[in-house]
Amino acid sequence: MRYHVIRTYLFFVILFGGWVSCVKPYNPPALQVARNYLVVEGVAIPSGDTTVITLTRSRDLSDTTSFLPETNARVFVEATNGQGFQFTETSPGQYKALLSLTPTLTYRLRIVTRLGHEILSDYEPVIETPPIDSLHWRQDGDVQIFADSRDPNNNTRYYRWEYRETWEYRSYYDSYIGFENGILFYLDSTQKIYRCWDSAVSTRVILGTTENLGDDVILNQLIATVPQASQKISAKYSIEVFQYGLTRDAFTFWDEIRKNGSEVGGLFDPLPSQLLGNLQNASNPGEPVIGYFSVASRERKRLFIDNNQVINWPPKNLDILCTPIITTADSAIYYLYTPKLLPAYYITGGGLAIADAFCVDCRLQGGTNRKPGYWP
Amino acid sequence: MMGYIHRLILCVILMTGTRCLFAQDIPPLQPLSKLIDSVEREGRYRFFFDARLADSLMVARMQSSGSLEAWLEKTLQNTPLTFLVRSGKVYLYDRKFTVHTSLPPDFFAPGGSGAVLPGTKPATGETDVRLADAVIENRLIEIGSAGSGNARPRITGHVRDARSGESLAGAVILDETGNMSLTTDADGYYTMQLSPGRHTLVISHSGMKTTRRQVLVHDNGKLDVDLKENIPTLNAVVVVAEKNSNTRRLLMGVEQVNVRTIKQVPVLLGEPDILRVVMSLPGVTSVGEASTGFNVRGGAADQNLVLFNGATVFNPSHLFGFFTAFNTESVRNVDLYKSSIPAKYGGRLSSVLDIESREGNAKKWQGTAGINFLTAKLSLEGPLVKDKTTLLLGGRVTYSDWLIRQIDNPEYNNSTAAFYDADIHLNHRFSDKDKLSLTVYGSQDGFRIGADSSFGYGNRNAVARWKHIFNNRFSMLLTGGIDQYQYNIEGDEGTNRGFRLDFGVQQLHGRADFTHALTKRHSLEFGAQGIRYAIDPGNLAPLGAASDVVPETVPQEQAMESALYIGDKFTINPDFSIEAGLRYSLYQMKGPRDVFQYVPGLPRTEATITDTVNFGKGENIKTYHGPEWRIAARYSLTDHSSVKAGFNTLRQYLHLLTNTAAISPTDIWKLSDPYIRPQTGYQASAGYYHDFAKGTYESSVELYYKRMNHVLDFKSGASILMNEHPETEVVNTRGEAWGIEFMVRKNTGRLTGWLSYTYSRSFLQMDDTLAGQLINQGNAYPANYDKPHMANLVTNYKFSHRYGVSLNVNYSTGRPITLPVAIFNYAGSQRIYYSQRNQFRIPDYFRIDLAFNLDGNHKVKQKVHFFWTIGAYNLTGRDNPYSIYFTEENGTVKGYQLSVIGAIIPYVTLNMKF
Repeated sequence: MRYHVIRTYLFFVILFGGWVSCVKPYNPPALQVARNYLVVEGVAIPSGDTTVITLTRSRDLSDTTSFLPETNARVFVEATNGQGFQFTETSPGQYKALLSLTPTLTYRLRIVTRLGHEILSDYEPVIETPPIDSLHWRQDGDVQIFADSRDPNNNTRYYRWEYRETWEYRSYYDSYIGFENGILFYLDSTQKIYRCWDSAVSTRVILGTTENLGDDVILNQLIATVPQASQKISAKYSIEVFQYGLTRDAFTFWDEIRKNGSEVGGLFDPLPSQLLGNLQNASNPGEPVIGYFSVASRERKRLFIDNNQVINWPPKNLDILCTPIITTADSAIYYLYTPKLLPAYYITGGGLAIADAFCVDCRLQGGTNRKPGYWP
Repeated sequence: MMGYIHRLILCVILMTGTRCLFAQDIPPLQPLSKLIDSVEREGRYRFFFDARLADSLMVARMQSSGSLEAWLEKTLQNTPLTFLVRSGKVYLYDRKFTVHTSLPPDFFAPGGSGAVLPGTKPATGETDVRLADAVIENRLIEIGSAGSGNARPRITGHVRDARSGESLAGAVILDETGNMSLTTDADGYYTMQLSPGRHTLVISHSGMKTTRRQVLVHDNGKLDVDLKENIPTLNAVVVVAEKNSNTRRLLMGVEQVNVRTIKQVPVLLGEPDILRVVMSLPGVTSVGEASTGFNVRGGAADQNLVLFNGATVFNPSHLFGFFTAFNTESVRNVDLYKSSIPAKYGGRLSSVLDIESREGNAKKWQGTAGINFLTAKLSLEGPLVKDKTTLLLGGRVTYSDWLIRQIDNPEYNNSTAAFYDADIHLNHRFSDKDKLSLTVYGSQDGFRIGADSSFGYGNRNAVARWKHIFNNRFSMLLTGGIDQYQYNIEGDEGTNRGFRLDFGVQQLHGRADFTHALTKRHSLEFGAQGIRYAIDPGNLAPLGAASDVVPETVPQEQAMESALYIGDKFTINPDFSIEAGLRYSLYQMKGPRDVFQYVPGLPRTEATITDTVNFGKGENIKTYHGPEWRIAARYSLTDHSSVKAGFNTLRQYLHLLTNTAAISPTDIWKLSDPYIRPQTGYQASAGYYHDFAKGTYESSVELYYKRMNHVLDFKSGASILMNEHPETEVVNTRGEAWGIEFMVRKNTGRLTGWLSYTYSRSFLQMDDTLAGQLINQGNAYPANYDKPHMANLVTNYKFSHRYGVSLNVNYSTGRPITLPVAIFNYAGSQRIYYSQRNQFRIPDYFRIDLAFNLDGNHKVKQKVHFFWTIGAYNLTGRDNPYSIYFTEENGTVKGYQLSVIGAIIPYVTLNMKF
């Protein structure tokens, strides 16, 4: 509800400025000192799944490095009664452990960094996230995917979602001919590069609360939007939604992240605020630690959408790019030494059609031709 | 007859002959006035005539080699005019009158003029006034009878607009003989103590023709004065502002803006806007283009008291601050007190913006109508009972939806925005001693976004004022009324989250103000004031059948604020005067209410609530009280220069909780309670004032230093809507501001306007030990409206009384903003980490606006007069940044600057008077 108010203003500020206003890119002035604060991300999963804690460092705005992992740290989850679990670093900055937590206890995260700084979180309760009742979708031009959930005990109240989308797509030509070392050959089913799968994770912070409602019921919570004619539903699309329950403080933290990054800088927007996580640097209290450590079970649910279920979903028009070159078998070899070109199909009665590799090898569009295990 | 002629004794123009007149062969038609002008320029003759006739009368320029008389005969032969030439003076008048060349023998007898002797009725008849006007300036008016023995006679009177009969507030009456001046009160009344004997009084008012009266004072008596409108083309009028200049005025930091100036200033979309003009005065800033609030001398936007005929207007803006919620057609005067605040005002820390409406024409019904790209407006005024009861109605409505449809974005298609405001003013004069005025004001804004969200806010005010004059020395003004502001938000209609939220603030107020002229040197002002506040901080209700929202009401807050004040204006000698005032205010928060108790010494959060104390209805929950000192002094160095100094302390019990850069219509008003203390502050200021060229130019330099305590700020991530314990979300902050303001102002002549430059700073600092984490670690940071350099030029140049051009130039340093200092990866995307608040600035602001004002002809008989304004806002098309923001797009952070007005905005306004 509170977002509503702010959105309203924004809307009108932009609106009235709308026909005369202008938006230009802005590069902030360079800072003297880079702020490399420790960033802690991860939700402790009480049992069943592996818990991943990611440690990174924040960086200057102009820094193009995408990832500054914090390596060689020791990471623990500890209970008030002394029970503890240690994590192991499986890749730079990624620490994993399989936990088995007692729901009645509270737990904290303890990190000892490579430089010996001790980072402590507050003690957090174990939140039992209610299951996702259903995922459903609606098409109104774009496809929107919604989640419903309910906590019969009216306990959870604050929710956060993440998702992972996976989609199948096809190349323009379903080619059964391969070319390697000057030889044309038939591809077997594992070599086929006609069907591919790609995936992406949520980047938006998706939050919901039922704090003003009588029942702890989430209805029609918007999770994701697939723009009309997106390649994501060009064949088959799947989304797996993860749901976490939150404490009120954790909700506030996530809400700040969301606001700091997504609300346009209108005059009626809240002033940007410093993030208040639940982690402190015990060795150097003046240095901020970014992040919020929560303990909550993770609920997940998957939904499939097939291309034949959506309407007005035209494929990308590649007819011009993919116009084939018809050659004789001899000159085909010559052409195919150009890495940009691949064989598309044999022409009955002689000759070979070759086309841009993009039209033949679906992997060039970013995905993999290995079919995920859960794919029907 | 004679009256016709002598009302035009205006100009003193030398004549040098008529040579050039006879050079042309074909006689072209031209206005008589122009012809006369050229003759007068030759220097031998002076013409006296009715300008209304001469303006509209077209005559052929005749050749003549003969005498002036012969030429005049020829020129005027087909006109209704005839002439009389006497010792170098040419009188033109209607043929139907006969002119006697000597005055009637009884002309100077008492009773024949507008001067009124004790006990006699003022002369208000049309002919009498006209007759009086010519001679009265040079006539000696006797007040009282000789030999009364009164050592300190006192004269009172009423100053009015001769044409409409409206009272003129703030008219200056100067006793040239005694070098003493005073101004009329809000209802046009004055009381002046004079020594027995002969005096020359000069009566002036901005926009009116200055007049003078020769009086011989014997005893107490009455002198009413009617002023005529100043007709700008006849520019030999005596300088108006000379004695009302800043140099002479006792109070410092008082800015008066005439509604005429407001109407000339070029504005966004052609809608005259009071607050925009106020914001171009030195010491006044705002956060940005579309912002409701304004900031005076480093104070927060909620520290300004906006009064409309004594009613408090909580949100004086439309469309989120793009426009001001006052219809300028109803407004007469705008006074901004930014430094010396008289003791009768209280309740806000920074300034008082006092807007007074007109009374309405007391003689005949008339109206105005106007239309521009955004609004249409209409106002009607006239006498219900002639010269006794006047009614003024004003209304304004927008049809801005067409603008929304211009925006090429489907999201806006279902959206609408609308506003209106209306005001009614009723004035009744029971007698010369009693006057009652009623004002009803309402404004409303409504917005709808898409199909399921809407938002509305509005002001409602009603106020009655009764003025009573006990005697020459003593008068009283009783005021009572109700002020309301409310807003509501509806959203998510048709889902289980569908809601409606209502907020309202209301105050019932009453006050009695007395002015008593104790002696010639002491003038007392005293009175009492009471305000009963009631705030409904939030009422949440389900919206739609599907809604599962639980109805919730945050309990009403109630409080009583009372104050007593006394102020004395002490004129030690004509050069040195002091105004000292004391205001004592008492504030009581009243039950019923539950007050949360917190663990002492720990930050107040939900977790540290230990108990709830219940207070019954009417029970005192918390009392605050304290004195407020108001001191101002003026010392004249020369006739044209003075120094002034002032010191004020102020208290404010009502706060606006806002955690956005600009105040927004849905911010919450909050009463002081056991945890939220009243804001207090002081301001010390000093200034030097100098008039140049006989007061044509006024210049001033003012310095100030200001301190504010218990200003409220927010903790990170605070939420204030529907919060039953806002004390857990706010942090006490201390404010400090200082600055220097330079201003040069020209009030008369063809070119009018002002140029100002201000250097000022404004800082906030969190000093709350119970705040938990402090913004900027408790170090001082610039306030959102801290703009060190500000320069404004506001000008109007009149080519003639029908054509004028207005030019505005605004420059200011960009406002401070908070920029991100780091980015980090979190939950699949780059995220932004903000650090210290307000450590960077957006680029500087610069804007030029230009407007042409074309008035229709001024023929008196014409039924409808048209006035056109054609202008352009932001003439250079500069895209002044309004804000800078950072968003996450597809996983990466990008920075943008947004300019609300990034182009030239032309406009056309048509106003008509009927």
